[in-house]
Amino acid sequence: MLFAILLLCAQTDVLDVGVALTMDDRRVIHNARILLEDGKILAVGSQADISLPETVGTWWHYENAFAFPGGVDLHSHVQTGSWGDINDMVHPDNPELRVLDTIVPWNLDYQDASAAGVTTVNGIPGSGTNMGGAGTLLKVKPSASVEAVVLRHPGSVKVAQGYNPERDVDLGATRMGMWWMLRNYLDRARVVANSGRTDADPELSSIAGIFEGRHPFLVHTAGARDTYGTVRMFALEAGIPVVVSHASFHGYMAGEAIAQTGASLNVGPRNFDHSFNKKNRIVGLVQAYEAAGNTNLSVQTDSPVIPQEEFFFQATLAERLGCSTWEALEAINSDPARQILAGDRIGRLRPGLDADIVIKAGQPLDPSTPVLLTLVDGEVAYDIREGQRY
Amino acid sequence: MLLLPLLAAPFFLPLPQDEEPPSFPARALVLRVDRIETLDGDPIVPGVLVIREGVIQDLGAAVLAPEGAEVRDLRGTGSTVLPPFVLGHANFLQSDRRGRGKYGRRLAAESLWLGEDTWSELVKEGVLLAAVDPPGTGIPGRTSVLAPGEGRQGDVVVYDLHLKLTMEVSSSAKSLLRDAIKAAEKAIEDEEKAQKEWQASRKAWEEEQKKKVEQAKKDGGKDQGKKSNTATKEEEKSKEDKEPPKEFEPPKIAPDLVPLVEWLRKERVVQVWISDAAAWLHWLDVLEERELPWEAVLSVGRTTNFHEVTDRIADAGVRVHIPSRVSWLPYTRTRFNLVNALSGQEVPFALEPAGNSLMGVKEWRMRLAELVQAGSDRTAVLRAATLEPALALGQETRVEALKAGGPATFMVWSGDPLDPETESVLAVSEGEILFDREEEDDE
Repeated sequence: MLFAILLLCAQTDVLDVGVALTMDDRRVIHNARILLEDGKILAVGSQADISLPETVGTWWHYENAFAFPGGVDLHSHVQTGSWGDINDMVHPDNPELRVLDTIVPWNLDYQDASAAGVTTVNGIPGSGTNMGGAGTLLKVKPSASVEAVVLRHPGSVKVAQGYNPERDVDLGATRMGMWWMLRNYLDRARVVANSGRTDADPELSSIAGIFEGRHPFLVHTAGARDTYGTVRMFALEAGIPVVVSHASFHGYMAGEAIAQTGASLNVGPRNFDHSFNKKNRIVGLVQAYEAAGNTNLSVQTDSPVIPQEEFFFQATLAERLGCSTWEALEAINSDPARQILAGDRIGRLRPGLDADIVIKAGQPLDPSTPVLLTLVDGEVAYDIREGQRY
Repeated sequence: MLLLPLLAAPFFLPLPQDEEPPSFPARALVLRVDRIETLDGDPIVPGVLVIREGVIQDLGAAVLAPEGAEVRDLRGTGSTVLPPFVLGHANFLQSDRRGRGKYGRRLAAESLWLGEDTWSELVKEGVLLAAVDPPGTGIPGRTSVLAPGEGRQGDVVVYDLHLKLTMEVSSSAKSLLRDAIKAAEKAIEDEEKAQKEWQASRKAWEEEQKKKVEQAKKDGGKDQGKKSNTATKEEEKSKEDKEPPKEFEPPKIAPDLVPLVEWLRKERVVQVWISDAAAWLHWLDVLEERELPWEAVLSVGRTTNFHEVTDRIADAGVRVHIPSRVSWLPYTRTRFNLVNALSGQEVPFALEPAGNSLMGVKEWRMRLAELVQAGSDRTAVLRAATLEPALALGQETRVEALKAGGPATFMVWSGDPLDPETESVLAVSEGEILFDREEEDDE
């Protein structure tokens, strides 16, 4: 009987670390203690302020390491373990398609990613068509079950503006056609969302969910015209959440105008430009957007374009090319979590949020130190003591 | 009145002819920094460098500043002094295109194309020396070495250094090298044969001349008319027995073959670019038993199979040049750090950026940091990006470990060079400040 009562008592895991970067209002805690229970963060503070619980489960000691929220990569295509099954290109727009059924949880790319501190990815369709379908926000953790790793479905709806989806033979050969179709879908989905019968129309349900604020569009776009055009169409005209993804080439030249809108920019995988500026010099894109006044910035891999495990390295390069350290740090967890409308679940070390925590021998952007431990929902996804994978 | 010209007289007297004007030592520059990574022994923390006339006059933890020296105190900023980075194969500095072939006569310096700001960007990244290879595959030509200087391309320090060869896994690539080596050997044989023939003909001619002189002495004083007729006939004959050249004139060797001949004579180093483990074995096959001076430039991608031949590479005892990256073993997600595998077998290695571009250079320090994360020794990695490539280019007196009496050629960084936040503060080449962030910030 006593044994049964003990089992019913929730066990609290304790994580003691040298420095905790909470990414919650840029709060840094030295000699930190984090309590974890039922996959959630129970408390975050200094060891002096947080006493040990009565029942301690696992007690991790990393006095010479950093703890920070797991990485959140919003632009990733390796949910099948490779490039496969991401572009179905018969129709120019495919909002009814979804990647959910194609997910291979804990595939090799995800195992590498976990060893590099990535805990959440937005697995999305490719940019072969104007609208590729619905992506899935999923946890990077050991599991054979798709249901067990899905954080949210849809995670976002994928749109591609310009370049890749241009088609030779039907509507969508130019931006005029593509953008007309997109506005057409937005108009129809708004009607469905307003009717309160979102799930009744499979073609429009995922877009209607955006009007209900459940998930955002994630739009592949590049260049100043298209980057600002994306902000205009989705954020300013339709008033719906959108993550402006890539924003590369000379997109940063519209940086000041974009900053006035507070748009969510998800920069990468190419994180520099040297072709469009007058001096032919290398310009860091995150730095350029930040210098123009943008603070809502995340980085991405477009994996496998950049290997999934190099997600933090993308922020390292952003800092290397001149963006501020805090901006680069926020670009890998708290900002992308907020951009994908999951800031109440992931992206910060804060009581009540998912216990997705990375322990690293150095600060997150330091490429010379390895990840020591990755926890997802409070469970160990990667432990360097079982062999360094990255 | 008489006194004035007398006092002024010494000023008008000419100096004695053999007396040189007095020389004064140049003003010293003293840098006080947080850390000096000499790359030869432990770092000096904190450190002082005294620079005068292009040379490090003194360095250490407690060095007094000479009187009148200019002192720059960079302590408390994380300032770190390190020898400069050296690019062994900065092929983004040329823009030529050439296919596979035998172009031994070509120089990389003929194909240079640098942007207006390229050198200033490179200097900011800590690069003060860069070698360029000629474009193409097979036998593309000879490498050149550049340093920052006047004009876009800077100074060409060495026009004609190593011979570049490429070894890919294809029968035609292999035949090309094998045939070229055979042709070079044939050229050497032909020359040796020609020399022997020349020596023989010269000897024969000289003996003939000697005989004639002796015969002339014996025949002296006899019938002049008869002699006169004989002399005319002999003159005609001697025209037929033309004198061989006094100096040996070797047969002409095709210009594209010349550097290969030089290599076979051990007068030149070959850098052979090797695409994978199989290509390494094919190269050994092409090389046969010849003992020649060569180095290997390994093409290491995201996946590599050089782990198959690390023992062979160690046996070869040559320097290898490796991109700064950690790879996967084929068909696996097992990470493989070739740097570790080779340094464990004491193979001398030089590192280069993983990306052959200016952006690759900007990334380089971060990629070096990744090697450290993957278990490589930090100092070994830094040496392999600085001193080792300089040695490979024969520029070891220009870029060497920091020491008193050595060249004042180094970088000052704002912190650990392997930290992404760190940026260059000063670039100094032989005492000359090429880049000063303080001045740039003022601008």
